[in-house]
Amino acid sequence: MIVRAGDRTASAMLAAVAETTGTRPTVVNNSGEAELALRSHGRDLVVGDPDVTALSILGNDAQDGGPAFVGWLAARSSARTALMLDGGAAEVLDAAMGEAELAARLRRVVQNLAVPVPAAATFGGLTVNARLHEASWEGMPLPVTPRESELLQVLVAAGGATLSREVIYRQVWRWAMPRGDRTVHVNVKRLRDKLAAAGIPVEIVTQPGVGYRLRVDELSESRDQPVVTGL
Amino acid sequence: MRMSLVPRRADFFGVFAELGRNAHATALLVEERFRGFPDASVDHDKVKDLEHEGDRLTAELYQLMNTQYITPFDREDIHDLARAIDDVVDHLEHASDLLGLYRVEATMDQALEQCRLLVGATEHLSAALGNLRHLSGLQRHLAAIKTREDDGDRIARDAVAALFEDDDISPRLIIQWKDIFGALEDSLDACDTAGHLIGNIIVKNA
Repeated sequence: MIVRAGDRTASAMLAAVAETTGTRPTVVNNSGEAELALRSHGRDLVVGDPDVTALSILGNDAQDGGPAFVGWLAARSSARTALMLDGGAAEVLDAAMGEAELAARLRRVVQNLAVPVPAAATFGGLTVNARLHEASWEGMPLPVTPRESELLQVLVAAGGATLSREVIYRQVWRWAMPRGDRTVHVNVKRLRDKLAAAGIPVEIVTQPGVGYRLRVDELSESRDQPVVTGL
Repeated sequence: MRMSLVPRRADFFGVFAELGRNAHATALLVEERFRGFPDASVDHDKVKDLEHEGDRLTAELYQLMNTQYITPFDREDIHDLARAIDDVVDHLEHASDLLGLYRVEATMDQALEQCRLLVGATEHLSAALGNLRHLSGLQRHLAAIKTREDDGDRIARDAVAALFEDDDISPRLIIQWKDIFGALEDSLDACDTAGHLIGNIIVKNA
């Protein structure tokens, strides 16, 4: 589940409500992070304020294979609620609702969702499926832990683009990264060691002061595009 | 207990010097553990061994006080100084223990900075304790300890502030690191306390 409201307080509140449904949501701060989260974790549910959540990340409607969408309104509005429901929103929440009502409505949407199907991401010969905790190079399994597979999938989903440690942390650990935290650094090092030990032409490159990106030697940066597959 | 009228001053100074060396060795080991944690890291048992050594030396010092009629300084000062040095090591051991107890996933830059300051502070503390017999030339070591403690205050404050900069930082992580930053800061404070006590001893015995 991806949450993006118009302000941090609302996002935090929605995330707390979402957790009562048994899901640890990914809170994103902009459309770029939302798209990355969709590519990394697959499509299931987006809870967001349509004014700040780009329509492109919502897909068009659920029938096109886009994620289920629950709208969020900072202020109740019948007209806007009707528009969103007509547009395919599974539910519309607003700030006038109490916590119990928000949780109940969100729970109903989550329960009615189809069981999420495993979504794998590929980048050159590298295939990663974090939900199944699997990674492979040209069919050869790589010995990664569940956490490492999640990290690798986020890097794959970025398609060679550089991601900051803060974005990686948010996508994998689903919390904000505190300043000075070395968790991403430690896990990237472990992954690097495993990729090197496997002898495959995949490298996690550090861009000093910026972050990390994935490089596959057989691909040039201009042609590689990540492909997120699913049923 | 039979008190000796023949003062064994050398024993007191020898034990203080060993206490200083042990405190510095503990700081070095804890820094190494933090730097390599969790993968290539020092086992906490080794830190625990140094803490036990510190306890043994402290007990030896108390034994000396209890069996010596004449002590090189006031008994109260010896007792307080020994306790402050013991606190340095105890808090370092506690910080090291929390890494495992809390199943910390990785260290934080601020903790590494605190460890670096502790290595420096204990180095100067050890140097001061090693020269306690002469009570001269110690001021620069005491000043160096104070400087590191001041820097440590600033870093600890900033470290805790960083945990609350974003509403969406994991509460578990906040609990972990607030305690660990606190333990490292307590150790540095104990170094400063030991420095003050040495300063008082110098004044009293000048």
